[in-house]
Amino acid sequence: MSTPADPGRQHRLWARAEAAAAVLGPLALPRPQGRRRGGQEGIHRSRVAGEGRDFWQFRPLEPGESREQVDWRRSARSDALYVRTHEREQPARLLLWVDPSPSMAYASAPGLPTKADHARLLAGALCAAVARAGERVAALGEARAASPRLVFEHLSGVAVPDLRRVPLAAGDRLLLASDFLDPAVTDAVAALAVRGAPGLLLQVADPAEISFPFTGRVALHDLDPTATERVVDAGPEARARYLAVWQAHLDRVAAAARAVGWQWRLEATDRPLSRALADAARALVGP
Amino acid sequence: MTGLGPLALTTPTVLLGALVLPLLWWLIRRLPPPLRRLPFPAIRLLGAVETPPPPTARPPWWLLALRLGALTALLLALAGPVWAPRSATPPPQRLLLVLDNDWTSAGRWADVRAAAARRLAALDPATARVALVTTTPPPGGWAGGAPPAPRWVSVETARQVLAAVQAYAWRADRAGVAARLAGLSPRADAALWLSTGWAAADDAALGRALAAHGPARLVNAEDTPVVVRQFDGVAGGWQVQLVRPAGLPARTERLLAIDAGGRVRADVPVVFGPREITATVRVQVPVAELGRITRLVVEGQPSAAAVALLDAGVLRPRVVLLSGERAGAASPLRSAAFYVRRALEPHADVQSAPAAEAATVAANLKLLVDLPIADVAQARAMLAWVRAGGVALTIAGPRVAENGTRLAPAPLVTGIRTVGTRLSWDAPQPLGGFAADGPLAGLAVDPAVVVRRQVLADPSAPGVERWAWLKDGTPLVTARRAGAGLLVMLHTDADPAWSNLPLGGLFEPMLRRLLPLAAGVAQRRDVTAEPLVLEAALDGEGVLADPLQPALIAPGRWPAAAATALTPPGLYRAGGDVRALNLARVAGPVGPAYRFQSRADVTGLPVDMALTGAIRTPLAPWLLGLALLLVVADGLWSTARLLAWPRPWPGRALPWRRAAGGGLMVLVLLVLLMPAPTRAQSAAVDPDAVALAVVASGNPAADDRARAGLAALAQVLATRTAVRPAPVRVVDPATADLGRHALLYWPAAAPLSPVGARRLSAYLASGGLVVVDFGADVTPAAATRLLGPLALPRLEPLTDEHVLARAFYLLDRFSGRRESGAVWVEAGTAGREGGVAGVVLGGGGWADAWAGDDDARRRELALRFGINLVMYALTGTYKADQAHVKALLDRLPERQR
Repeated sequence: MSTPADPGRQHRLWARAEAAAAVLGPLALPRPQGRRRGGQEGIHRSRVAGEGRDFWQFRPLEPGESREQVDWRRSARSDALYVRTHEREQPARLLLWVDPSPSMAYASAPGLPTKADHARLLAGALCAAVARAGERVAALGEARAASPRLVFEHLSGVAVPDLRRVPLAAGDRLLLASDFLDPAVTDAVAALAVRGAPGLLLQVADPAEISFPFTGRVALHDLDPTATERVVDAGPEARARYLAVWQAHLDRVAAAARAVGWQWRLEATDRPLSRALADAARALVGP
Repeated sequence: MTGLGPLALTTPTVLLGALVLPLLWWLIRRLPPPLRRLPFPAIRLLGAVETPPPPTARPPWWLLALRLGALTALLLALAGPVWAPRSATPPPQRLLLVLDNDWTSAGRWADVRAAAARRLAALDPATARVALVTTTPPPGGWAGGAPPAPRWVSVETARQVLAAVQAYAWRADRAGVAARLAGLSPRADAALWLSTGWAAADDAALGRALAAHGPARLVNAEDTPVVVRQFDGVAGGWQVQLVRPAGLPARTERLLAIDAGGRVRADVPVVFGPREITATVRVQVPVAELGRITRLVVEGQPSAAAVALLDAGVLRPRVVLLSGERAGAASPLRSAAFYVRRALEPHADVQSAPAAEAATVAANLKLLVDLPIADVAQARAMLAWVRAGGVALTIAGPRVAENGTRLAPAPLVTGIRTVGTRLSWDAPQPLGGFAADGPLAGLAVDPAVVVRRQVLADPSAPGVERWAWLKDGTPLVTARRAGAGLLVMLHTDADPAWSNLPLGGLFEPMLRRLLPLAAGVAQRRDVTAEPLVLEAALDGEGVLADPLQPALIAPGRWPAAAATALTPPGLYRAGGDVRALNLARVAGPVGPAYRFQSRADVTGLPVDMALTGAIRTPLAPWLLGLALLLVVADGLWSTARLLAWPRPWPGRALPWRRAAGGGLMVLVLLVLLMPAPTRAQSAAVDPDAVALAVVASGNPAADDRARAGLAALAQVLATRTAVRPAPVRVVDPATADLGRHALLYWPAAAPLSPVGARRLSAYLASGGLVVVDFGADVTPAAATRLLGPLALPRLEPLTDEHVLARAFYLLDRFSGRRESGAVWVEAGTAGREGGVAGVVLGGGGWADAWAGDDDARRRELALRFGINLVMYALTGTYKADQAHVKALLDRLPERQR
């Protein structure tokens, strides 16, 4: 389940994700607050100008820039005014994970994407957008930062039981996309948050799961082949009952996120990608 | 047959099948629709919730109703229900049925006849007797001069007679019919008079005769006819008076002027005010198109009374041109008559006549071009003609200036006034203007026109109208009324020596404006000695058709001729003179005194309001249709349930696959429901197909072989050429209709019967092509014996110079199964100067080769010859045309050029 077998489909998904990311634009992650943990400084150079301690280069003062920025010592050596820039230091990293459970492979209508595809698309697009901003990205469970394409291929690299044990570094920010139908995922969030990483829970849901559109007598079964089916007389009564349970489920996930200070978003698979992506991006870099 | 009031069942036992309905109800209740199994991962969330066991599934009530309804409708339909409402009174045993099939009924004849048919259907077919009487004489009049005596016949016979009755475009003979009804014995139980309900003069007599027979009633198929009562030619068109029944609301009809090609050339609204019965309109048509209009028709009125046939005499002004110029003038461009003729020919029939016949030639308008009428006797004759309504238009010229003319509207001043020359002080005179009250009013004054010479007249003479004048006020066109006619004069010559008027664009409109003057006066025609023969007759619906009976009108009787059974309305011809006899115009039933009156008022008979008689309506088709509809609805619903899950989300386009699936299912249903008329259509005979046939030779085996060969050729023709051959038949020349065949193939073995030979000769004479195949070498003896009765012209061998050798393929040999001698065609048909051969004669055995030959090459060559034969039969010497010579030369081999 970690890597879907169809490379063509993967490739198309990635192409769509990249296109969506291009529309979204570069997405810089917020800088981590406070002191970083030791042992990490100066390891990763970003080779771009930014906040940091190491000198990067002098550049001419541009119109409109503050006088305080002028490096007078350098400027005194010539006629022009110069600004001293520093190399940006990059401790921020985005770790992404998409739930590989069988329930994610569900789409209620032929025209709809499966939850897994939708989650991979969103995660892939965010990954590409963040990488464009010069940030580092990695699939959850991978030790090293990698190219967005590689990250995209390993999005589902960690099985649900292993979620608690993945290595984390300081400055890491997590994006977990799942339907959270498996309670183990929700539980693992707490374990991850304890290690200091902020994150976003992206709960992906099919429209059928949100509205329960069935009528008449239907036999509903889980995608897990071992599960037994349940005969439901779908009607207003059954729908009300289901919607209550569904709301409780949403509340539970949202509460788990809130408890550790993470963001939470519900994404229906029938939303237009651009809007879903914009909202997810806002939630990812938000407070 | 059992009945429940008006509802009767033919096979009520089928209703026992209704016992299975409760069973079906129970089954539908017991068997729920199949469970839909759907994946739904979130179902695990419900795991914790206590769900009550679902109740047993019940089908929706409407599904139950749908299925039970379908079965019930099917059962009822099979029981054969018939709706036969019984009238309050029992149907009469002897019914006297009078049908008005005169011109008033023609507009709704179908309804009148249908009403009669329903009355007949309501009678007891076994015992009832009917006397069917029509009031209008058939074409040619009553056989024996009087209406036939009515007889009692069976219902079936009456129905057959009714089917043959037509409505005619002339008036009925009700008085004669009434006289005959008195002799009908035994008396009728009831009498019905079916018509559109408009009365005629002799209604009262027939009403009394019917009332004498028992309870008589009228059955009216109400119609609101519009009749063209009168029409007269006026300048640029016709004035038409239309009549309709009284008391109708305001309505606008449309009067169409239709030309010979059937196109509408003018469309004039005819506005009847509320309760108005007459309307008069003018139909205006461009002058150039006047001559093409053949009919004025009230749109949407299928009646002969709503049609005005126009004949050539009414339409196109006929002008006689009398010229005083010397015949054989050196140059036509210096002849005044030439300019006059060129100006008038587009708008009138211009006929030249010698000056000596000026008084005797018949015309409405005579143009005298530089022709002085000085002779007293001739002038008296001409003036008499003018007073009787003729128009004499004199165009001045040197001869008129010299001699004067007695046809001048105003006294002429002898001599020519010459202006603009070296010896005169005056400049050439331009046009001054046109009289506002004359026919030339409104023409634009062309400043380029100058007149150098003119004949002066005294315009102040009494009665003289000045229609056009020059700048200095001298008259250019003058006119004076003389009796019913008109004397007109153009005071300059129509040749360019006197003025440049005939060279300019103004001359033609000036003369054209004068043309309608002739139409305003009473019609006058050449008196022919031949009788006028009916060429096309107006039927009751106002359509021109071939006459059902020949009819003649002696020329002397023409002015008083009226549309009757003996002389139906239509077009009559005597030589080149075609005249129209209209229903309404002269002495027909719609005279000036005619008013539409209700027949009920005139006769006092009660009106049977119900147009429909008692009839039996079988209900089975409707019930079957209902059952089918319900079944289809059920099927659609079931299909939709199967196909359309999950339902499309709101705002999301229907996925194409589901749409395609649904469409496919609907298509399958439609195909299943569609009746199959296509086969019947394809089996119908194509009327345009090219008919090929085998002339029966007396030897059936040879005929069959020839037919097989011709059929094979037909197949090849259909694939290689644009010819669509009809199925090949074997025809007997003595009896069959040969004329429609393009080609006849005669496997000649025995001589034809004398009748057959005569008819085959007639076929040849009418342009047919006969291929005579002896199947053996042609010997003189055999040819004489077989072909003698056909009286063929001289024959000569067919060469590759003949058109037949290149009608489709380029051929140099014409062999069939046998490589036998020469093929013979009629002499003198080889090249483009010749005619088309009617006979192709030889011993090639072509049909055998067409049907099939071991040697494919030989068969191909024979087929090519066959295709050439058919093409030759269809196109004649078309390929001999010079236009094709170049292409043919390019394609011919070098050695043959």
